Amino acid sequence: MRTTEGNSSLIPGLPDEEEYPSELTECYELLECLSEQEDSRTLLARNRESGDCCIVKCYMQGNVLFERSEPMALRSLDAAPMPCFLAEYRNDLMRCVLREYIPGETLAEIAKRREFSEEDVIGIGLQLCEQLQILHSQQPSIIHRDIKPQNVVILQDNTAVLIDFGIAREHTENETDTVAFGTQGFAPPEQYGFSQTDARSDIYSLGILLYWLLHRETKVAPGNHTALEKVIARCTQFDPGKRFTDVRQMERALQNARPSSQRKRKGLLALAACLILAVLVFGISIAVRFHPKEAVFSQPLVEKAVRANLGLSDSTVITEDMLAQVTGIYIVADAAYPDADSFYPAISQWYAEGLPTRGPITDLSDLARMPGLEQVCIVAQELSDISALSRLPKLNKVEFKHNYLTDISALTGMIHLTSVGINDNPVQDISPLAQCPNLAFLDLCDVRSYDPSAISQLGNLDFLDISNPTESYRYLDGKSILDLRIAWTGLNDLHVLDHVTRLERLEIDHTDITDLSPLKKHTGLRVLKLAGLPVNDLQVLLELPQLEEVYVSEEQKPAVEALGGVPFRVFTE
Amino acid sequence: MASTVNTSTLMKRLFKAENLDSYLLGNERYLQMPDFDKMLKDFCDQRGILPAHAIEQSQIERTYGYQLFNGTRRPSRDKVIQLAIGIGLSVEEAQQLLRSAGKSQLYPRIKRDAIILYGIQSGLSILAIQESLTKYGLTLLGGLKNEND
Repeated sequence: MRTTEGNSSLIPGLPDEEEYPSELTECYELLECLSEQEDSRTLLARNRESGDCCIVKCYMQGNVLFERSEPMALRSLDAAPMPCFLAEYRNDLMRCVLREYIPGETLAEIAKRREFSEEDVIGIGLQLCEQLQILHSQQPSIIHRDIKPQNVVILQDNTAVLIDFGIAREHTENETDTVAFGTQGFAPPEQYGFSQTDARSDIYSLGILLYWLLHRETKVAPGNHTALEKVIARCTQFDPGKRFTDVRQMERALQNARPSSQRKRKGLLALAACLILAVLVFGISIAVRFHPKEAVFSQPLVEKAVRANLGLSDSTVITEDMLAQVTGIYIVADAAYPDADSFYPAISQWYAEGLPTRGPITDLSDLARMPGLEQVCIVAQELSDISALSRLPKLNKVEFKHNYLTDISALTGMIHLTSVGINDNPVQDISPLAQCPNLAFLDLCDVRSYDPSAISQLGNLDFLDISNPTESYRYLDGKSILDLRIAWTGLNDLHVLDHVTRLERLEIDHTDITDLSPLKKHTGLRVLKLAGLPVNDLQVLLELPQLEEVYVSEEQKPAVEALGGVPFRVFTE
Repeated sequence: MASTVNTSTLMKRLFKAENLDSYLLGNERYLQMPDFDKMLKDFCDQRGILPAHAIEQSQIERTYGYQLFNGTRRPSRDKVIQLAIGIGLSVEEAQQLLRSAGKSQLYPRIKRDAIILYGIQSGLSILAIQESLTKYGLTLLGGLKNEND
């Protein structure tokens, strides 16, 4: 039986709490230790005056986070329902960061006693997207970097709230994370030091979190059956470039994956149909605008590409207003792809198969209703008219390899356009490109019959391919070009490049060049393609200090061997 | 019901997992942590104590107490501690009860927890422990505002 007498006058061995910064223990009473690691501790504390509880993150000496101070962006962040910053205290032993306490249960706790439906998971995902959007849109943007079930609290009103900004960091361009943080299973591959973490790292972890809620697994199994699983698969791509580019995009995809929104949309359509019928019966026709207008495509393959880019299933209805969210159209022959990263391998595959058949697209009128389009990559089709592009103000890249374009005047004056590919098109006039001030990448390979003098009106370029019969190489004077390709042409004198600067890669294979000595002034050259040249003297290669790779043909190998040991790698075609 | 995985497999997974979180998340369906209300009743049965008596000894409001016993309500951490004291659990049992309720365990490096631990260890009543807490100027059991329950 317990005694009722308190012999509390003497309790031996009570902790003195002197290890904590004195300001902390003066103002706050420590209540609980919520978690403890070797070099960090999370406590619940109570303000002695107000009685309010707060969370104290303690980083001991030795922990990398001990040295730094809470970033300003995280201090000033005041975006309910997320926990706001209260104070930071430190002494020689530890740094303590105080944040508001959010009462509720974590997803990890709730998951112990219940399952989550797709609807639940989408709801949680949408709320977290909204909060991540706030973090990511700070200047500089904040990356949470530790999204997991233990760090999401569900409030009494069912709001999901992201907590624990312990390893959140400000995103600075061109800086690789040197320290690996995060939680195994939920952290993206780049967080283990492959590359810098950015907004897409949080998208990855959020994807894993949603998958875990559905299946209690952190390894996303291949084969996605539902619209939600497709969204998750896109979030959790190994390559950040293949994920959603930002949270807004993910949010939209989640919204569209919502079973109820799909049902609702169908319901609305049915309702609208009834209305229209009613209206027709009474001979009045005003109700049409209540109808969320379903987008109709003249080219079914364009519709497929829209679905791929928005992450929509085949059964989702695409409405006109959704078209504004499309950022890229990627098509090779008769297949559509979600983004540039999946599109380029598809082109290689098409070449590897020996350029089988072209796709059916003949016009681009469908694209005129997608004002958000930034990239249009439609390869190997029957396309001749691209006039619809003139209504797309955000275009930065067009790729039309293997089509039948003759007129590209639709591109005139596009200020965001940086990349144009019209390989193997019978374009007659390239002068509209001179009106694109930011053009940096131009592929004119196998464009056979334009007036080459227009080349001199173009500015400097990072990439230029003029491997075609037009003798464009005569108009390069004064340009700065990083990567220049003039293969399979009648070029016979390298002095045409005397006034070209910045060359790092040059492809002059299968031309009529007999003398390579003019190359020696291009000391920045790193890659050279020389296959099929009627040249025996390769001495000049030894005078190019940066040279890393040289491509030659079989019959040139003796000439390379005559140079002795060379400081670059040699590849034979 | 979850399929069975034997203990040695679980142990292997535990030692392979890089940290405890990932182990617990990956294997929780195999971890048979009894529900809080079940454990509470078992402890009372072992000691031959009726729930009504336990609730009274714990200084918990009666309706609320019954809701904890029949699992219709989830307790705050302080309520779990009060029940542990009221039933007369050992320190180890009290920690188990806290774990089953999903609450953090008593932690000897925090003064308030240390006083409670000392009280449980020494078999003190709730009243005696509250007195100690008052003496050291600490929050009484059940004395937190916005308690999560």
